Amino acid sequence: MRDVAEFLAGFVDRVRHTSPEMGLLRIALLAVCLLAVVIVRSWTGADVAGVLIWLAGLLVVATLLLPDSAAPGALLAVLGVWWLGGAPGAEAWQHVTVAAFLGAIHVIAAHTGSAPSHASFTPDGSFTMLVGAGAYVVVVALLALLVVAVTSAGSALGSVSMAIGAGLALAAAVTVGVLHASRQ
Amino acid sequence: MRYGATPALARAVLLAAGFGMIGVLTGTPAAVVVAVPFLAYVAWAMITRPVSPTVVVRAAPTSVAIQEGDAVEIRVVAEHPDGASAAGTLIANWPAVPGVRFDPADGALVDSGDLAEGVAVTVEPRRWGRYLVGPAQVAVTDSARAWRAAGRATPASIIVRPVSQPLEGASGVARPIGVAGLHTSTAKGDGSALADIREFRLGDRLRRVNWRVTSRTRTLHVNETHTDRDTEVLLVTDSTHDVPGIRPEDATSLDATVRAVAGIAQHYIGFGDRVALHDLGRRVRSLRAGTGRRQVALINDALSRIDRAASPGLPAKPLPRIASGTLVFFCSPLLDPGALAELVRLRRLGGEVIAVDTLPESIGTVASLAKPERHSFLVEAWVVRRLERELSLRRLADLGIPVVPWRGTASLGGVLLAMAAARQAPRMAVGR
Repeated sequence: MRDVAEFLAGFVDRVRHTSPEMGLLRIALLAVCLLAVVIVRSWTGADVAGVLIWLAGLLVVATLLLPDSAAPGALLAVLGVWWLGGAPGAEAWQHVTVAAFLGAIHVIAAHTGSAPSHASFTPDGSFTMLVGAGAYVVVVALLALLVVAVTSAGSALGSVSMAIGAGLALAAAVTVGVLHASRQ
Repeated sequence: MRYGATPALARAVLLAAGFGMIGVLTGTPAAVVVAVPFLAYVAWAMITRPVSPTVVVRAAPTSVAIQEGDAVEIRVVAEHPDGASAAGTLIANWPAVPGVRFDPADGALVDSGDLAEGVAVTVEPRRWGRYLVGPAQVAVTDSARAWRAAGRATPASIIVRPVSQPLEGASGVARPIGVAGLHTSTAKGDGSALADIREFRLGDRLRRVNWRVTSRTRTLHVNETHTDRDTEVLLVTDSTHDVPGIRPEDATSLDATVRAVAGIAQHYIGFGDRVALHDLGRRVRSLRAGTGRRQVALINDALSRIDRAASPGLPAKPLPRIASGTLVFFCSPLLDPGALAELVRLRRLGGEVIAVDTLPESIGTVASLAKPERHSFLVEAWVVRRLERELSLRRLADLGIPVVPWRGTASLGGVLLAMAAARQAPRMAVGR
């Protein structure tokens, strides 16, 4: 009981001392998360006995409170799997939009979790963050568009072979990334 | 500090691998599209990967002394050990310190650019004293927030010297005990203050001849002057208790003591007197009598090193002896019986003792009883305590020890007037 009270007191204290920049970041994170949940829910039309929407809602709250924890990863995983469950009939632009939203959640959570909630940003700090995150979301959208275009062209030849090829390239890139990360 | 992958990079790697595997195993191109954001993030992380595996952070200054009311800028910079230029984002978070104001307000700042330029916060202690600011929690990240090196910078020790405003007023010294100085003594000799005009005697200097009186009286007359002497001033502080005021922002008894001592020391050293310092509570180091600016600096330095949080816990440290005629300013809230006994003892040793009352004005007043938001009987207790103390102060007055409440720099004028009054008033003999 005391732990809960301490957690709540700490939470209220953090909210009271949240800086304007970090407050805006969290509002942006909340907005993007809610939009992503609404989009995925409405475009797929699928929800396992109403569980997914509640699960996603809980994970959104957890992401807001603890952006540097595993919560954002879990939220992104749930949203991705949820989208894949209803994706087969989706349009290409819908795939691109979902990818862009997932990228936005990821990068905003990364920035929100990197600094304490009461941290102020210098103009240089704000500019670098906005430009970097904005450029990342645009690049993600363009890459998703490219992948959708490539897979659409490949469907005439055989979607399975195209997916295997893209997946192998992806796995190779991820392996390189993991190796680089382990060297640090 | 060593760079490591952030949770964001770990998340991106896992999700890229997971959705990629789903795409491969199920032959679903949509899974590859979902993996794109995370794959792109991993690629971004590879591009912004730090060139050096470690980074060193420094905070400066680590030790600084400032005047009360001044602010100091503490800067944290990051450098790669191999000297390579480093760009990225520096996040510094200074822990809150009671009585210290930060700019930005909560002491945490995020800055991007050249790490060697660092980030800086402005620190402004509200009162005199010794403060340890930090250690700041520092994190260096890349622009993607994919790599992070976290650690602590060295803390900064800030000594805030009390403000001692210049005081106006006479010295009030009745019987100087030195051989040279600015106080006018009762003895006649070389000096500047005119004592008398008398007829010329053998041995008188020609430059003392008063020609106007001589021409009028047709007899050679000379000016007679009082000699100028210095004296020894002893400042006794009583730090055995630090009594707070009614409101948290009110000056405590220790605040008043420090300001009184700083002001009086500067005033008397300005007269060329030798000023010594002694603390009954053992929180301030004792200083031998000295004069000049160096002594002022030494006294201010000793005062600013008082640890407010420390409880003395030791018995009062009495003075072994004082020279008769020493001017003693006894700065105390006059609550502790031991301090009162020491005050009387110094008077009996022959000191010209002045008690400077440093008990906060707001505490223990009848007016404080009217406040409706009280939740305890502490205010009533202080009113009773102050009434009890009045009896002690009356006894001090009976012994010829003037008690002057310290109410800022203007108080010294009252102190000196009280001394003059005490000098002229008939005295009660005090037995040893």
